[in-house]
Parts: sequence; structure tokens; C-alpha cells
Amino acid sequence: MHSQYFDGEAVLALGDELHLLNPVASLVWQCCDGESSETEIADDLAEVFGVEPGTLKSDVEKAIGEFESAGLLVPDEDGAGASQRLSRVLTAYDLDCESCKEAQPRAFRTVLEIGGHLVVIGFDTEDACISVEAAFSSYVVARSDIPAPVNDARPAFSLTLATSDVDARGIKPLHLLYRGGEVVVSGRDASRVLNALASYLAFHGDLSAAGVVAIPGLVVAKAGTKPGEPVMLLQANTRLSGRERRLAKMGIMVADSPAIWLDPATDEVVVGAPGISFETSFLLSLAEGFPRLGADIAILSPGRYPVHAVSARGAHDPLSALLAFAPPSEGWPLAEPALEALDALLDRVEIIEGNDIRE
Amino acid sequence: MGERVRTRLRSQDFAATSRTFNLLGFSACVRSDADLVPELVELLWAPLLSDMEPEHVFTVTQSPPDLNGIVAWHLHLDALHVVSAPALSIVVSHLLWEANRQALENTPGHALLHSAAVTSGDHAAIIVGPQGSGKSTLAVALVARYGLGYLTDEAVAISPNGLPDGLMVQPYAKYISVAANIGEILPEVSPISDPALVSLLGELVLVPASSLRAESIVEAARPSVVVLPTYIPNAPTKIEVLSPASALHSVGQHSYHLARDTALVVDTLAAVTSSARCVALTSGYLDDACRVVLDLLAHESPRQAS
Repeated sequence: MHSQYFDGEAVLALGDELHLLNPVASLVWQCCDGESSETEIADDLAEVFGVEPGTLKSDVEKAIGEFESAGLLVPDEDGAGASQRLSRVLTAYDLDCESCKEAQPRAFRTVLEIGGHLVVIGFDTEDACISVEAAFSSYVVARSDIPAPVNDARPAFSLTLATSDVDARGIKPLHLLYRGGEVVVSGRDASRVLNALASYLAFHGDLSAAGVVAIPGLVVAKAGTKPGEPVMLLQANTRLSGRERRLAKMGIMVADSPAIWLDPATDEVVVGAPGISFETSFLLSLAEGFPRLGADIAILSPGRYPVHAVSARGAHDPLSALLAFAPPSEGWPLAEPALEALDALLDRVEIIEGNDIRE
Repeated sequence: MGERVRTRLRSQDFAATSRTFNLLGFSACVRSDADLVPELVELLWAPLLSDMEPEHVFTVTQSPPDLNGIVAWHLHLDALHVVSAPALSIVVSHLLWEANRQALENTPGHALLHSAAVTSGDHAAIIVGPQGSGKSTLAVALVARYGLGYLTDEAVAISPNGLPDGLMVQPYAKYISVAANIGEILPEVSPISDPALVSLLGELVLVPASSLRAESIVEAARPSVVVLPTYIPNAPTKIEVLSPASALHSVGQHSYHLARDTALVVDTLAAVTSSARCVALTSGYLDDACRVVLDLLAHESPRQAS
């Protein structure tokens, strides 16, 4: 709240709103100190203007009513008087992605606090909710501490774990991880989507403390690649789960991760959930309760992998490769440390033009 | 942007590079695979060019044809992707928009208004209003037809009170975006007409500030007049004098970053409206509206001969 006073008039600024007060309203406003009642304010002003007490009560009531309607005053609960709002309340959470807003509500939900963000996760079953809360117990926010707006927020992530190997239509379902309203990981083994959840949660954490930077794209490698063996970074603007399936048919493994976690000190990518601590036993136990729906595609195991090449459409030198790694469609910007790390890497690895693996 | 990335952006070969343009607190250059883009940029921001090293780099690049033979143009600011499009004109329009946006984001310590400003001697008139209010046409007419100085048609940056250069409107002599029929209203004004450059602009009709009138580009000036115009076709010209509080309330609605820099914006604009003559102007006639502004400025100082 900020105010300027002129000859009798006043202008109040609250957030991006401006309010013009006439001389009477301006005087009333200056009397709203959180201690005086409407009657007391009216009597004080009557004394100043030399009129009978009570003469100005209706004017004062009207002005205060308009202040409250405009959100300029916070009514005092003990009745002593309304006080000026000092600032808008801000909450430390970030759920501004469009797909989050479009996600369907889930029967069960939990809220985790990760890296200063409050992340809502939705589940179809209570067992899944309980197991995930046990796995990420150090991050769970108690129900009583959840801010009201978060209670009504749509989940940032949701899990759908298939309960049978064939649905009512005779179609084989998949275990699914949603980010907002979009499927980002699908698998025939529930443990895959549960481990992927950890990687996606890491995105909201403090990656700099984990010693990595986030770069949009995919980590890919030939089938059978193990930690310590080289991988390639592939520029990609979307993270459709179907892409991983097509790559798998070509004998290419991918990492289940929303971004490339690059360690700038070693030029290695970290596959997994950097900066997040969780108990895998609870997730494995939960996964065992759900059916395996057939053979799953191969994905890269958690670990560190040296980068041997970077591939992007139109990339034929370090600058064009750097420009090709645009922010993903989710809209988060490439942070400067990530830009610098990628730029340094491009001087040391092979650059392959085109992001069609078949080329 | 890190020094490493900055060095790479500067050292890579491009078909053409522009000189540095300084848009209030934002300095940049354009490096492009298309020869004409830097030439266009230098024409549009001619009064704002310098030979200083830029802090930021726009790159306009073209990727090779894809499997379907389609090429794409890409715009980056400091290696961060802004837009990609099949038409270069789309990329150019985004470049102009993004540069202006960066100017507004990178000019701290000033109250910024969405308004035009012109000068008579050392005195500035700020013309404040939403799109369609006629402020740009009024400003251009005052410069091209009546000989006033041109500060800006888009964003007024006012230094706060108390500084050595306090309460001055900083110059931001960018190009002016006008309607396609501007020639009917103001024959004195000449939008870009070179076919090669026009093809880069798509639907935009732009007038370089340097083409308005010889010696129309001026230095910073103190705001002595604040005008809030409303254009109503064929309406008689009316003036309403505004109190400092009313003027602040009206003008403040057009400020950038009011929520972010509340005290700075409110205090600076309050100082302006307290010391300037503030009027709301309604008119349907361009020359009548111009004469009102000229009369208001004439009270502050003798008007320059046109």
C-alpha cells in the first residue's frame, strides 16, 4: 500500500490498482489506524470541523464501507476498528502451468513441499497415496498446514495405476504418470512410473544444490547402455510418451525425466532424481501390488552417464546447437547456468545435425 | 548472459550485423542470416544507435529445409528462443516487439508510462492514453506539422525526483507505428516505402523517427504539461483541467510496473502532476487538439519557431 496526499485529496496504490479519495474520504482514511471505531473517527472529525458529534457518522460509515468493498481495509476481528491492509498475502508455491489447471480432480491427494514449491499429487486409490507419502515422508505437508488455495488446486501430478491387465473394453491399459492433464510417462511396470514421479518431482527442487542444471531435451543411448557408458543429448520440444516407444523399437533407450540433468563439472548427465531423497522400498512395495502388463520398453537406469554427442535439428556447429535447445513447451526459461553449461559442453562433444535418430 | 555465450554470439559468422541500439536501459544488436534485417533495424532506431559494445544480441537464423522442404526462421535473444516461423516478417515483428518489451523491463529506477511525449524548448508535454485515444497521431502531428521536438510515441521514462536529473522525460526516439492511411491525415509523414524493407514488415506501417522532420530528435526535458486525449470523430474540442490527484489517478492507470515499483511510480508521477498543467482533452479535430497542446506549452516557454 502506498499513498500520496494533495490539497485535500489522496491517491492510494495497492498492487496494480489506484484509488482516488475525495477530501472527506481522505480524512477518514488517515484515521483508520486499527484502533479507532467508526464512531470515534466521526466524533474526531466533527471536533475538527466544529460540528455536532454524530453529524458525520453516516459519511464515515459510507467511506469505510467503500474502503472495505475496494479491499483497502481488513476488518478487525475484535471490533476495535478496521486497519489498513499492508500488503497482499503471497504464498510460496508455483502451479501456473496450463496443463495443471486442466487436470481432472482425483479421489485422493497429497501435498509435498519441495524446494519452496507446494506440489499437489493426485491418486485414484488410497493405497497409492499412502505409499507415496511414506516414500517422500520428509516432504509431506500436514493437512492443517496446507493453505486454503492449495486445497482447491488441481494436482500438478497424478498417478493412474491399472488394477487389471485388461480393461472393460478388452484393451490392455498402462500405468500412467500425468503432469497436469498430459501423460508424460506410461509403462507396463508400475515401478517405472513411480520412479519417474521422483524424477519429475526433482524438477521442483533445488537443482543447484544438487550440482546439476536442467536443460530441455532427451537423454538417449543404444540398447543395453549402463551407468558410466556414453549417451547422447537430443533436442526435443515435447515429451510425448509415444516417442519413447518408437525409439525403443529402434533399439534406443531413453531416460524418464522431464529434462536433461547435466553436471557441468563432469559433463555427465544424471539419470534419476537429483536433489530428492526418498525411500524406494515403499514405491517398490506399491508397484508389486499392481499387475505387470507385459514387457516394458528399456529405459536408462539411474546413474551417471558421460555425454559423447549432442543432436538437434539444424545444428552443425556449437552456436546453432546452442540456439536449437529452446525452452520446452511448458515455458520455463533456460536458466543462465544451464546455458553456460551447455555452451561449454558443446566445445567438447560431437555435434550431430538432425533430431531424427534414423538419419 | 554469460561472457562465454556472449563471446560465441559475437564471434560466429553471420551475413550481417547491426550497430548497437540503445533503447532506454536495454542495449543490443542484431546478427542475422538475412542481409536486410540489420539494415531495417538501423533505419528504425537510427537516433538510438551507437558504437558501444551491446549487452545483448538478437540472432535471426534460418534452418535448412526439413524433409518436406520447408525452411524456418528463428529469433533468439542471447541464445534464448523467442519465436520460430516460416515467414521472416513474423520473426521481424517479434524482434521489434521483444526489443521494446526488454526496454521496459531493463530501465530500472524510472517511472514508465505508456504514453507519447513532445517538447517545446526545455518543456515536455506528456500525452497519455490507451490505444485508440489518438495520442500517437497527436504526437506525430505536433512534431511533423507544428515543429515540436520528438521524445517518444510509446514509453515515457521519468527519472524520480531528488536526483540531479530528476523529473526529466528521457528520450526514446523509436520508430512510430501508424495506420495504413496516415498519408491522408498527415501528408508530411513518410512511412518506409522501400519494397525490400516493406516485405520484412508484413502488415506493419512504420515511420522512422529520423524521417519526421529535420532536427526533431531532442534531449531529455522536464514535463510541464500532461494531456489525456480522447478522440471522438467530429466532436467539439473540450478541455477539463484536472487536479493533481485526479491527474495522478488517471495517468497512473497507464504506468508500467505499478505493482512492482509502487512507491517509485506513485511518488514520481505525483511530483509530475503537482508541478505540471494537467488537462483532459476531447476533440474530433487533429489541428484543434494540436493547438490546445501548443497553447499549454506556450504558457511555459516561448514556442520554438517551426
